[in-house]
Amino acid sequence: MKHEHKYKSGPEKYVMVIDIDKCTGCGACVIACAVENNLPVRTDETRKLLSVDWLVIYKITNGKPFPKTRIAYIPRGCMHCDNPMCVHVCPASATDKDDKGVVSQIYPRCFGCRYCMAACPYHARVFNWWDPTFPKGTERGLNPDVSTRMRGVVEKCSFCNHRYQRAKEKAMLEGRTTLRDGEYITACAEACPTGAITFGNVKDPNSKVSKLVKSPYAFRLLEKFGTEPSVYYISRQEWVRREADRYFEEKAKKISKE
Amino acid sequence: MLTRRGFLQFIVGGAIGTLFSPLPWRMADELALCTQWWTPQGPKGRESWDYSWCQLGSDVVGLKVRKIDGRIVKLEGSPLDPIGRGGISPLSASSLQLFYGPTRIRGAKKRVGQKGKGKFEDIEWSSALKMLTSKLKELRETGQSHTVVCIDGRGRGIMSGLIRRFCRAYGTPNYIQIPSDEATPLAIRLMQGHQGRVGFDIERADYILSFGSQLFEGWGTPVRMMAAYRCLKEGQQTKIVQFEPRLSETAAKADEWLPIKPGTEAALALGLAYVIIKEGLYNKAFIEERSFGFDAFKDMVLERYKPEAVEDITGIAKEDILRIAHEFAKAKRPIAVWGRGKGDIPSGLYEVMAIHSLNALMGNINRGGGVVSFKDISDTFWPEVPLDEVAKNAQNIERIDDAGTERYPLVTNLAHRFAENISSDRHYPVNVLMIFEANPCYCLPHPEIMEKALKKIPLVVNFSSFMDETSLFSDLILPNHFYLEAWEDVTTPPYLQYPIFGVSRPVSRPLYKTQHTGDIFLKVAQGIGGAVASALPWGDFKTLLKDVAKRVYETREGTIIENPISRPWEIKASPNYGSPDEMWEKLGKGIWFNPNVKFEDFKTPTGKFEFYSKKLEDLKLPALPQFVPWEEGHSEFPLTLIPYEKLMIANDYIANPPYMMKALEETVLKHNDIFVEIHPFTATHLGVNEGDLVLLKTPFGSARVRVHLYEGMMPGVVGIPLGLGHKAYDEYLKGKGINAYNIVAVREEKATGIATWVVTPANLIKIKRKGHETRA
Repeated sequence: MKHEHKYKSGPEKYVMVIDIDKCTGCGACVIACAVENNLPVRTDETRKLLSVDWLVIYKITNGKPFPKTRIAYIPRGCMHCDNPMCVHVCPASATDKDDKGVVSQIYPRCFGCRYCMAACPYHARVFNWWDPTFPKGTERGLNPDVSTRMRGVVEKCSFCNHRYQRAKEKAMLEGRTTLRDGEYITACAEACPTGAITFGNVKDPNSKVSKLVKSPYAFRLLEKFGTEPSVYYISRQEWVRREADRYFEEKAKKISKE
Repeated sequence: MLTRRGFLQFIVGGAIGTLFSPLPWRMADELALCTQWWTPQGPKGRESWDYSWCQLGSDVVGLKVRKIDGRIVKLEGSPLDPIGRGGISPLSASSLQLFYGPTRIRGAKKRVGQKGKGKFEDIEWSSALKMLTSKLKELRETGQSHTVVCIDGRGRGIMSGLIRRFCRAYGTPNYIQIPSDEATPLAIRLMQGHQGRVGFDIERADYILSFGSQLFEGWGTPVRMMAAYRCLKEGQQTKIVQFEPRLSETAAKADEWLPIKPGTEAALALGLAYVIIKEGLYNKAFIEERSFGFDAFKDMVLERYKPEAVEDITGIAKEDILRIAHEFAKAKRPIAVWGRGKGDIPSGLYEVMAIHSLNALMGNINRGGGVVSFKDISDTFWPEVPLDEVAKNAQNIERIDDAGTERYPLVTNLAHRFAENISSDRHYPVNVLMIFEANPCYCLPHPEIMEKALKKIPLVVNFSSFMDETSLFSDLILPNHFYLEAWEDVTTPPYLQYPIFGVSRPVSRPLYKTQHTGDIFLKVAQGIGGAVASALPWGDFKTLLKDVAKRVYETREGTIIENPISRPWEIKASPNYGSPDEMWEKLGKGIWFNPNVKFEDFKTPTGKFEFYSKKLEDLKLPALPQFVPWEEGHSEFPLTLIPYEKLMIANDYIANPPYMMKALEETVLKHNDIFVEIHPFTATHLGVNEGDLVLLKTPFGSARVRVHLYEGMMPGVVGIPLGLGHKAYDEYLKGKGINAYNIVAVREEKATGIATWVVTPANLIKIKRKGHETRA
């Protein structure tokens, strides 16, 4: 299947690199994402399977007993895979991979069959079981660049696509066709107070991400599925890499050689 | 003439004819549209950007504010903030929900029903102010000015200085801060003779010992500590060692986590001091030239805190104590940090003294990478208060909370005694209580005592912007602006290593009929007249801020940030403005800061750093740091309950916005049930499983909770998060979980009266239900 749908990007391919060793699990990214993308709030959000979240923080442990226990945080949005399972299964062509690397979601086309949710190995997609609700009065703070989604559709992280459009418009007005590194970043990357999240064009050899993805400690989640995610993680702790991708042995050998 | 047939033909023909027109289709369409529920969309418009500062909770975050047609839609971290350098905290990011949310109070209100029932009617601002002013005037004229109490929840900066000044000029000794870290300023006053700011130069330290401080979860200023973490990880690879009974997020990010028995940090610090002294690893130059009482300290430590003994007390292995002491002593700029949790779970004086002794042993005081002390503009700005007869007399009256009295001569605030003394009619009755940015009916141990106290006070005036627990018990609510609507001062936050001064300007028109509390204090002072009016001569808060800025200008120190700086504490700062007006202009965007601030020398009676406090000796109190054991556990309560704090739960005057409730993990809250964390061993012992309902019992009450099994919790210890279980606010927050403050045990430190609630004896009892228990 992987070879049938070989994805070719344009001159831009946006990727995210998250340094797990720097992430303190504070959740500023989660909040920034929710505010930026008009995520709905219900009075009881403790049933996480029904919650609409684009970015969640997984807490993993090394499984060792007290006091040898260690924990690490893995912020997880949409992986914007180069071989996206969700796109392959969508019967409505509601989701697609664009040439800058973003897996899009077109809400009016989606009729809520949720095949994509079943196909996504990262649980990145969520379903709107209800029409979106906001605490009374807070609708005034909705971001006009992002439409709120109706009941019965699937949604997910968009790599803040509207911010790309905003950055691009600004660049055009200044007479440029390409974006500088850092001009287009997602809301989560911008909010991160420890600088754990880096976002940029991996095809630009001078961008921060293009250097970071080459790190021997960089890996992606569940690489064995061949989904080719656009979200990279970095950790110098072996147990974190092992937990994040159980198909790790080959990589471990590679690092130990270097 | 219209026949019956003709009429029917007309109707039917008309109906058929209409079908050929677009009208019915159009109408059907319209009907479909207007009967649908349309999702709300943010209206489009012209975009603009502004700058502001969020100072909710422990946050001090520079903000870029995105507006659409003047309506605020997003708050982002400002790269011109030297503290957070573009980062943002969850609370400041979601504070827009508080701004627009349904719990804002929309105008002045007067209580009509019973206290605590939350029944209010709207009242004109002018008559509310008249009511307050005339009451204050009357009390002052009848010699009862001391029966007015002010509670200040912000506790720093120009606004607090203003309230404190009002109290002094008006003639009441009763200015109380809630919550208040009493131990830190007191320990620094006793050991260094310094009254002012204490900063930890974390960014330049190369070895950090944290005694239970949740450094990256709200300690000090959240964004500053996050930015510091980045700096430590990218730069010198500083080692962080965390002593804490629970594997918190900070412990997870530390290089080494050593679980310590709750409340025994002082013993550990002295145990480390033992190794450093015994092996002669301390900074000899500092000890010989700049310290006093080292010999007494040395004898006491060598006698009482042998590593074996400390291992017994703290549960930390002797080998670890030896190793960490060696590492600490070998480091170039080692720093020992105190302040439990976010710094709001109080430590006693002797514990802070014990930990700070480690810094003194290494001579790491008042230098880069150490503990520094300096004066902030909010300490030095205020001119002398002109006191009239009433105000002078008031200085001799004892405070209602016993602080500063013969019994508790050292402390400046004892909030817990305030509530107790009023509800038990000790001292004099209180006639007026004014509350600014505090929620004492929620975030003090045993809030029911505070409720009882508030019921006894005839006029409780609350300046809260929100319908919180304390608002429900108020007689008059005079809501303050939200920070986005107000002129606010930005002064040095706790533990920052250099002074800052900024001005946060209003970036939105007030949404509701609210007024700036600073303006109200100034207006009321003018209304009272006389010496009170002349002590507070500023027309409004903005004028006062301009005066403060002018004073900062006159120091000719520091600089205003104009471009992002990656290591602001290292630069050589010089003023980049030529006149006060230019400075005021630049403060609209950037902030003034002075990394080259002059540190305050030791001003103790001996002029040296005092391991052995002369002042304590004079008061006939133990003069050396010490560890005071907690009372032994009761057989009925074999477990130990510890409260813990989370960055995702705001637990002071500001409560959680809905987005933060949404982001809480499901191992903290499930529907309305709160989880307590216990170790799987403890669970096996109790016979409970993940998610089981149990009764959490302490000597002070009980609550129904669920258990979460957590390998990172010390066996025998139960952890409960602070900040949930609100009785007020909206359906996004109200009734979710329990308020841990209801059930904690308060211990009063004998010498100082400081209340601590670190350790509470507890038990968990499985709740048996009919039929089988379903997992949540």
